[in-house]
Amino acid sequence: MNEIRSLEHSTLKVPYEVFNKRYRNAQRVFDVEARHVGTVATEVDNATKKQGVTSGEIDTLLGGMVEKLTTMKRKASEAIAEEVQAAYVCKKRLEHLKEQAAALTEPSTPQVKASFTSQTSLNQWRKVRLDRMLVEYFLRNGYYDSANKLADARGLRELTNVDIYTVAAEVEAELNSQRTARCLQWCADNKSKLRKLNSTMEFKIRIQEFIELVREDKRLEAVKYAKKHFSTFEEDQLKDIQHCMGMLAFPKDTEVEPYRTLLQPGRWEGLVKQFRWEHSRLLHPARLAALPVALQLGLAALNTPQCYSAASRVAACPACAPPLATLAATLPHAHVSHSRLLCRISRAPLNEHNQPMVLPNGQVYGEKALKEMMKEHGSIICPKTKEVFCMKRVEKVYVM
Amino acid sequence: MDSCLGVEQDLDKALSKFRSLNDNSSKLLQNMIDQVEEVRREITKYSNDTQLSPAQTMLINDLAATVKTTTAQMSTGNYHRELHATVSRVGKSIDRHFIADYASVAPKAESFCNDVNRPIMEQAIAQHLYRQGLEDVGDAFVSEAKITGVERTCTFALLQRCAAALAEGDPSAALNWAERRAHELHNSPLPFTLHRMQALKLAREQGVGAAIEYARRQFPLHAARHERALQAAVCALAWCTPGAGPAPPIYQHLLDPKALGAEAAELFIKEACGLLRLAPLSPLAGAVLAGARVLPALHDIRSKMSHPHVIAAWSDDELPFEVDLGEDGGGYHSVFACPILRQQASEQNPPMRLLCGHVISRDALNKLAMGAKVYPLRSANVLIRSDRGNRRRGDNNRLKCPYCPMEQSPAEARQIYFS
Repeated sequence: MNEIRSLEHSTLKVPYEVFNKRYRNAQRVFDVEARHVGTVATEVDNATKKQGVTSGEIDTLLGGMVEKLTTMKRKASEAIAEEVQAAYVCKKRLEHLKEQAAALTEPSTPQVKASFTSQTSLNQWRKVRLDRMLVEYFLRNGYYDSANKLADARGLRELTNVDIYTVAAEVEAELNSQRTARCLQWCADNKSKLRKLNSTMEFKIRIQEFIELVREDKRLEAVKYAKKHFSTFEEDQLKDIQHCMGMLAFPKDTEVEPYRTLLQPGRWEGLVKQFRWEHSRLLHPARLAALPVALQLGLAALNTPQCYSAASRVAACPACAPPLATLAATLPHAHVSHSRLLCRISRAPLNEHNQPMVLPNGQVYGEKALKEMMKEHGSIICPKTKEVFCMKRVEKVYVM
Repeated sequence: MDSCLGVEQDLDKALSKFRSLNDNSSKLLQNMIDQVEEVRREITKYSNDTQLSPAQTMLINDLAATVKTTTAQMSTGNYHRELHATVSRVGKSIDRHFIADYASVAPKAESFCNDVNRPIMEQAIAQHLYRQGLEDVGDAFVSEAKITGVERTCTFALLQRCAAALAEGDPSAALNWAERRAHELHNSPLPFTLHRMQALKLAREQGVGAAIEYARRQFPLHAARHERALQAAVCALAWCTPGAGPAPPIYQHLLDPKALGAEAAELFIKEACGLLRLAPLSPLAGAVLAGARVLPALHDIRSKMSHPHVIAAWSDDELPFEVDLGEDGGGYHSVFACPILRQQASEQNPPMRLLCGHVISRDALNKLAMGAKVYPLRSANVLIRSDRGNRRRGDNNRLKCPYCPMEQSPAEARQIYFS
């Protein structure tokens, strides 16, 4: 197991979904165009069977055939080019992942061994990964502007899904201004997949359109609309349809539930939220973005009992600093069965090369830092309690 | 690595198939177009209203039939349709080589996205963005996510800007910064690294002469500490002239402005943070880094622990094991784990130093003391111990250090503080 295998599924899967969709589109193009050519061919066939057909007539028909074949050629190559392009997006990300795959697979190799440059590039890669996670989080939560800006600032358009999400951003903007056309089109584009996921998106949009008709007091049209669209819906949606129809009997400023809630404009926000959810459900197999997952596990792994008291807080520790400290407080502590000690002065690890030493007041620091302090000040001042000691009274501590 | 290669294989296969399909379909269709055009020319040789001869009718019938079957073949037969298997194999390969449901091992992650915790997390994100010097993105995010209470300015952002310039290959901002703090940096490799970068940059932009001039001015100060690196840098100038051949491998690194810039940027951040007592990683970055380290280990253990009895270990959502976070990834606090109870020390159970210097937790100390009192004659081992401790007869509340022969009374142990 390694970090790439654990975290990067959606990095590849999302462009793959696009690739798959393009493939289906291309197949449709082939079908449609072949049918067009087929009809022309049949026409030619029929024409030759007619008695006394002239070469002029046939010529025009054949001209039509050439035209259809040229269109088919153009459209087919366009469609295939799109497929190849989508596959290349996958390929590009794969290349990016491969860059550091070898280094990440064996995290146990001592980093001293790895040269400084490869460590630098690994850190660089990790930085990019964090930016990618942030962009993904932004996209999945509807912060499209931020996502675009971050991707542009870091040159990450190809490694993130910003371009794939442009459609979603447009649909959401339309829904926010209470227009449904684009969302319905999106539903139609992804019909089969949405049905597989048991999505109620289209139904909810239809209801909203019906509600809008009622709000405008076009009740007759609303009934027509209901006849046209509600008749095809599933069994369990009957109750909602009944509520809708019941609404016809009430004025639009009614206080009677559930009609009052149905008529509230807040329903649009719900639609935006639902759309966002359905859209990411369509693309991502994982329910959550990678960022909160990694953040939660990271905080859990870094969380210590010392993180909560002001006295033992460490500035660099993510679980100590606000605002994340609030989140860390809800998590359990990391499991530690072997001591892991740090000198509080130098932040260097305490081990056989840098022995832990205890001052008479019980505070433990590293030998090296204390010796340095001795050289500088001639005595030891406990950084915590400001008490002054001489080196003689400092004793060794053995930690197993 | 294996997972990447596995997917790549399938993807490459798909790509090559699509490319050959594209060529093939163009050729096929073009052929048909040519054929039809030829027949048209054949027919239009005569005037427009002549009747077709039976042979011509036959020819046209045949042509129409071939066109029809070929295009039908392209749509429904084993043509484009056949590639479905190849495409879906890529998807399956991704699913097989990567873990789709990575969130399953982080049961609490969901709670980070609820209405209480989401603003906190987003605050941390905004903080991170500002800290990286990405004010534009930060502003956009703050307004989109409606975040409050995040400071827009940050000392770190200044450093980050210097580092970003370094990574782009421009050391001037960082040099300025280092100049102002020269007296604090006299033990650091940073000034030399920056000067070296500037010299090599001059060599690229204004020629080797300017670089040597600069090196003469700046390098002597650092000669003592960085002799080898200095020699290498000056030697590398030999390959900076246009028309010089490829440099030997030891100098290639010095001649690659991108690698050099990234390295200098990292060193700059590290040194500057050390000087200003700042964390080199933002809290968000630090936590995510640690999280990414933990995740594979969790997936690993999850796949091994599918037995129903073992699954119970997941019920209390604590990390069920210890994860080594590496040198740079964790270890912000000293954590003392009692070597006897294998348990993290806490305020109720603090570390105690025995007279001999060994450290155990207070609970362990009490248990050892109790054991000595309750079972003084149980084993030969203890018997010898109480024999040896007969200097203070009557005081049977003594304990022996588990790690060395030293004996003492529990009251002589002293609490110590690691943080």
